[in-house]
Amino acid sequence: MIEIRDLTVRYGKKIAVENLSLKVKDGERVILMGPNGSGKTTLLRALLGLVKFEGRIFLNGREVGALSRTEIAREISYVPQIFSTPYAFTVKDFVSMGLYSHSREWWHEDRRVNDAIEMVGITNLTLKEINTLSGGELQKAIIARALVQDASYILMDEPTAHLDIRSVQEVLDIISNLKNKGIIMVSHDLNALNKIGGTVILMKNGKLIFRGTKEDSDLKRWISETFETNIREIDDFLYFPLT
Amino acid sequence: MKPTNYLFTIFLVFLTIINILVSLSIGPVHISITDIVRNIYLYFFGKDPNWTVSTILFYIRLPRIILAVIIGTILGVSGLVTQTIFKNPLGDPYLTGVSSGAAVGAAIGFLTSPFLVPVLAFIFAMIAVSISFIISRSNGEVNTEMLILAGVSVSFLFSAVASYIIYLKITNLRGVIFWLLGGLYGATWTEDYWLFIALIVILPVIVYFRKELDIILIGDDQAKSLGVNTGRIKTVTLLVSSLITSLAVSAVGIIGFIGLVSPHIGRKIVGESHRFLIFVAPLIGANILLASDTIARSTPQGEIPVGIITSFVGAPVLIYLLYRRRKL
Amino acid sequence: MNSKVIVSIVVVIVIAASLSFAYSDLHKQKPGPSTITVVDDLGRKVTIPLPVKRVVSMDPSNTQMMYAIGAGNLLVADTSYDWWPENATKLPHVAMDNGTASVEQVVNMTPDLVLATTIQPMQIIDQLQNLSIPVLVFEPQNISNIYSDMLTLGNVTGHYSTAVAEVNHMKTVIKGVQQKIENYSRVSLLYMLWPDPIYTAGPTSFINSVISAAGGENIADNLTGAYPVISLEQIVVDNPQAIIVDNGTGISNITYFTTGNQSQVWKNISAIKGDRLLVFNVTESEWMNEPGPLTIFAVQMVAQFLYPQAFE
Repeated sequence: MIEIRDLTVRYGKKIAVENLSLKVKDGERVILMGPNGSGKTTLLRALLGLVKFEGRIFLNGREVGALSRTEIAREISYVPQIFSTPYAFTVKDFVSMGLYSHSREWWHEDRRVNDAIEMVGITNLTLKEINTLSGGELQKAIIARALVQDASYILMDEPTAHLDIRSVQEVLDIISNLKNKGIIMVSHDLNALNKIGGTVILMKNGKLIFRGTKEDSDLKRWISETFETNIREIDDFLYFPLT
Repeated sequence: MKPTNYLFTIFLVFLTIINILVSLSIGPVHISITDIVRNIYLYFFGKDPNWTVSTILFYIRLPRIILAVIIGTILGVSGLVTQTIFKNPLGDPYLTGVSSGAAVGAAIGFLTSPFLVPVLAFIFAMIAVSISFIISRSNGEVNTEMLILAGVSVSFLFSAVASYIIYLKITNLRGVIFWLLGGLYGATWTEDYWLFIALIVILPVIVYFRKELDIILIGDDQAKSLGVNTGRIKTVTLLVSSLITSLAVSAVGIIGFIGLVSPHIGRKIVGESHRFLIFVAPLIGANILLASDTIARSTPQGEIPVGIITSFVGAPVLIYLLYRRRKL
Repeated sequence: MNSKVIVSIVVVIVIAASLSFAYSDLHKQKPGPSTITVVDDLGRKVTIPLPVKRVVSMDPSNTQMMYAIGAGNLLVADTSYDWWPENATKLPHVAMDNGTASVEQVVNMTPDLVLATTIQPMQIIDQLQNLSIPVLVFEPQNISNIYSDMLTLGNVTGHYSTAVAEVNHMKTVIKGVQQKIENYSRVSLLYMLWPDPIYTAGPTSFINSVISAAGGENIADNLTGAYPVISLEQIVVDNPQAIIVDNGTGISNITYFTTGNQSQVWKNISAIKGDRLLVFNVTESEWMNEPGPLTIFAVQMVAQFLYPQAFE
């Protein structure tokens, strides 16, 4: 279980996350939504121990501040926003980096690496260099790396942003098929909300303002209010229509 | 992973050995291969070797060849570490202020006693590096963007001090000019011995972290999320590589381009991963410096500074690599 | 408005005209028969108005040559590192040992002639020349070059006969040395300007001409240039019988060779085995390095070191 108590993160004088408390159960899927600058990414970074914060965060009962990087990495893995890299690591090299928190050996022939690559469907790219991949291919490789890391939770920061229509479908399929993993996913993609399901959390100005499920009857109203728009009008553009 | 990478690493080891043997037979004084073989035999089997030939081979050429291999190795590996940690392809091992710090130490050394030069060069190199590191610490870890700027600033500061000392006392400081040009003249077994000890103590530290160096290249946040303690590893590898670079500089002065170009050549052949690169870059550095130094000491007009040769050889290689990359 | 324009144009013209007058005045060589044209060591033809009453020297060699030909009293300023004769140290100093010289200070001395050397940047020489101050650059490459430079100086300063006498004196001294040593077989010599790397005096250096005048056989003769690096390998092969170490190298005696880092190599070199090592003190080094009247002492000293029997 992830437990956040009274979390506050400041960047200088600006408050990015304010007095936020949250519990995420094992295997729970959480979609984190909110306008730009509402503190979603900062929340993920706090969970990963990448920013200084006030308050307390517990990963399976142990406080984040007291854990080493490796110990945190065994609890939560991270799928960052898509990035570009000039570095010519092969997909296999790249995916195998996910094993770091378990062992410092060179694991290229480890079955887990090949399985993860196969699971996200990029076996044909195993020896290709990551700086030559398309956005969708790279995103799958990053997910494979997170799978190899084999933590209880996967944190994802807009995994479908910048992807084409087909890649979005494929990536969402991969994520929704994950078993026994807690997922905390930042997304602006209503398709993701529909496909992944689970808990929906809305954030605005660094505060948690709604927690519910996609079945909640007042979800649409809350989303409309959070983003100050009327989402009913875009229903027709969804691949997975809102029920 | 490509099996050719194993082969290439082994090939480089053999190339180094061949390079050493060839260099042993080349020099300002011509010694024929048969003379070399005969004297090696006589030297090791207790007979009386030809004094001139054996002195040249075992007390002049061989220590210098070994020194070139050691220094090339140091510059190659610390160049690689610098480029990786700073994620900057133009990184060279002098980036943190080593060379200009050492220049100040050397200038002061030549003013007091030439025999203090290596000691003072080392001390001042480490002072410059320490200042750069202290300036660029934030939240208990080294901020690499700050460190580049701090290194450049500290370099300018120490260069100014060195220039001022040299300008004031130019007639007493001709030694500094030779020193600044860098060179492996005056190599001795004692020098080889101590540098070798330093190398085998320090090199394993960098080799040990080669997996982490790979992951750090992907980006700090990702590296941390994968479990890498980036702050500690950056500080340790950079400090350790600055330390051996300072030792190298204090022994032979400032020799450019080896640290910059060796990792690039290595990457072209074995790829990005430090798994092989950590061995390949220093081996390439050793071979380039050895070949350059053999040319530098063998010209009929008397020795020319080796830095001129390394730049002359290294710059076209780098240009060729960049040209190839652009065409891809 | 119209008148303003006219006034400004007139002002500009007047200023321009006066400036150009000043400029041409500055550049006008004083005409008439009282000039002399000589060629200096850079091959520059320099015309000097006569008589020369005030001379600035920017190098000790020049200062020494001036005193030697009896023209020392014409000097009005010299360098911070002049040391001979003692009077030279009391003059105002306008040049430093790193080759810099203050043009302002030189001009302030209102010299009729400036004596420079190649250590001074050419810009300084051009600047003085543009201010109509004639500059002679002296850089003797060998001993006969000293003679010609002294005669030129004598000619320019009106001390020709004393210059001739001084040149003859030097020739006599050197000839005397050479007669003493001519029956001994030549001694090979390594001249060390710097130990690490070993810089030596090459065939085109002034030092080399002193060594050969003193009967030494410079082992760096076959290298090129004035101050080449000589490899330890070459020294092992040439096995010099004697070694001279310049002042300021950090080497003070033979222990550098017998116990230093490279002692394995050095201790079998003839010169070290036979303890034939000469380390110059400051004065001896000046004799050797400054072409001028004192060069005769350098020749005597080197010859005495190489052929002690000849001077018993």
